[in-house]
Amino acid sequence: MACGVPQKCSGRYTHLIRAYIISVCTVLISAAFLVAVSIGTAVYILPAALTAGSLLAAITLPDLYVSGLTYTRHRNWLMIERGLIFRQTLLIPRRQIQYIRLCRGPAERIFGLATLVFMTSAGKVSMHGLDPVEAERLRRLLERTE
Amino acid sequence: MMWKRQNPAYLIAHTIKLLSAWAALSGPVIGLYLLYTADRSLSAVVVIAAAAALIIIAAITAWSRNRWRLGRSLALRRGVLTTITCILRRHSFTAAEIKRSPFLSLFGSVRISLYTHADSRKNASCSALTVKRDTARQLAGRLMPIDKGYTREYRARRGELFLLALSQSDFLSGLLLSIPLLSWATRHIDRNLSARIYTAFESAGQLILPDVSPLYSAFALIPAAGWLTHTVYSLFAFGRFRYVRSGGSIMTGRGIIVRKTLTFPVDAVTAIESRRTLLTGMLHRESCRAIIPGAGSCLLLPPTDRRSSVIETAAIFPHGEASMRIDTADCTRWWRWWGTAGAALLIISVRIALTAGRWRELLLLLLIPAVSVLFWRTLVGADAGKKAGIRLFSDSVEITGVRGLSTYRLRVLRGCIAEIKLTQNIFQQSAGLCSVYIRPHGALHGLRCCHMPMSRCMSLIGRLG
Repeated sequence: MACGVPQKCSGRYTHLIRAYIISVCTVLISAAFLVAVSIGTAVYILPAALTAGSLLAAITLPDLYVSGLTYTRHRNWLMIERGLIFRQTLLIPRRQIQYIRLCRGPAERIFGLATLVFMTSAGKVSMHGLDPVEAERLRRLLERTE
Repeated sequence: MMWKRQNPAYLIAHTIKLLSAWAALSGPVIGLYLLYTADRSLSAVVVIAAAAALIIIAAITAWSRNRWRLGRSLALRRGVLTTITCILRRHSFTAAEIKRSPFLSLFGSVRISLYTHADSRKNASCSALTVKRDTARQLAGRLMPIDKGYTREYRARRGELFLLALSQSDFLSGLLLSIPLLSWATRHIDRNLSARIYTAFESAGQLILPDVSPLYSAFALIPAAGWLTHTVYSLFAFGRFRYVRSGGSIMTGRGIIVRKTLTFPVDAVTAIESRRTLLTGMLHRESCRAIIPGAGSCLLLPPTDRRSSVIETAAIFPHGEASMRIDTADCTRWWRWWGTAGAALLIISVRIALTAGRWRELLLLLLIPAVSVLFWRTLVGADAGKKAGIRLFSDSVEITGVRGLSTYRLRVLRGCIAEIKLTQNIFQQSAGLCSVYIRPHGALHGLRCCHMPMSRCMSLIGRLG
């Protein structure tokens, strides 16, 4: 990872976000369906709308979000750009990073992804959707003294 | 070096704390048990006495095991079953605070809190000691030695303290403060005190708002009473304020009943924050606070004139060469939205006041404070808009913006910036604007400056890097 060059996160991160959206929406649709059945009327418009909305979100949102998620390693800063509606550029001074943790949860292991968690004097900053090899390399690069 | 115990005042304070926590947690259960079972036998009293004795024994054991030792570093040992030894190196301390309360003065002791390079005050309990007054002075002198250089002393005047208390008070804190006071006074002084206060509020409310029903007029006075309570509390908390700068060290003392003295080296200061409220702004004054990692924000100067404040802060952070300035007309434009919202709500309030609906009084009670806050925010925004922006110096960054209902100017050393955040909503994305948030190391909150040009902010970051 070259210094000052914006890097994209792994393409597999879209699948993980899609899986999250689908799982949350499945729960919501099931609840809406149960409510519709318990009311006993033919009000199935809510589950139908939820299904259509979640399908649309699962198709479009992950790609849009991941395309806007970049991180750049500068000489003294680490810059993370993210967000769709509220676009956020986060700058963390390298000397303020106290330690870095590499996390891989069950879902991330399935999709072959990793998360880097930076503990800074301002709090915790997470960088999701990284390739494990790339994450390990970035961790080593950032831990190296300037 | 020998391990030393803390003063017995700590034991008494700790026992009272444990007993009151136990009474608060188990009191209702025991009370209900005694009420419903009508058990007045000796066994119930014995059980309660045994539980209280157990708590006292636990407190004594904890106190006897809680020891400290000062050698090359400060060592603190605590714990009964699991012993924890905390070793704090001398150079890691950023500030030392000596607290003297009337209770501790009875035992001739004080509480000394030593702050380290932590982000918050949550680790402070680990390094707080209750010791004799002389021991505390020696401890502070060895861990936080005061330089014998040029000395400047500043004592706050009464008017400045009154302005400080008035400008930093809020009614919610005042109401929260008055609840325990009121409950104590009802129990010990007068059982009908709450009813009397309500009657007084009702009659005073009727004098000011004769057309409104007594209940609502009494409620309308609650914010004013809360504000007054907090102002009085702040006057006691910041009374006899004293600031001494001696060489490379700063010492501040404040408080009338509970006296707090904070000592810290100038090098530990990561940022300086100047605050201007509407009231202090009209009088061309501003108050200053220093941000110290671990100890948080510490008052340096009460509302003084701008010139004195600039001179005093320059002695701590000498101004480097200015290299870049970002300020834009866009940041002054947005306060108008607050004014528009306030005006709209005012029109609605007038319409409601002219009608004779069922919920008229309740709606007015909710709408009038909302209108006041919105207009206040508009005035603060208009005042801040003239100064909002970012200035880059060779050694520091200065950001001016609005937080809450005050205008702040935050000056952070370049090496002490913990975080910079640029945020763009969809409107700002199309206009090429962004909001810049800078947070210094050791501060709980940073400062945001809205609607700055994105391209110039990025070039500022490039220069910072």
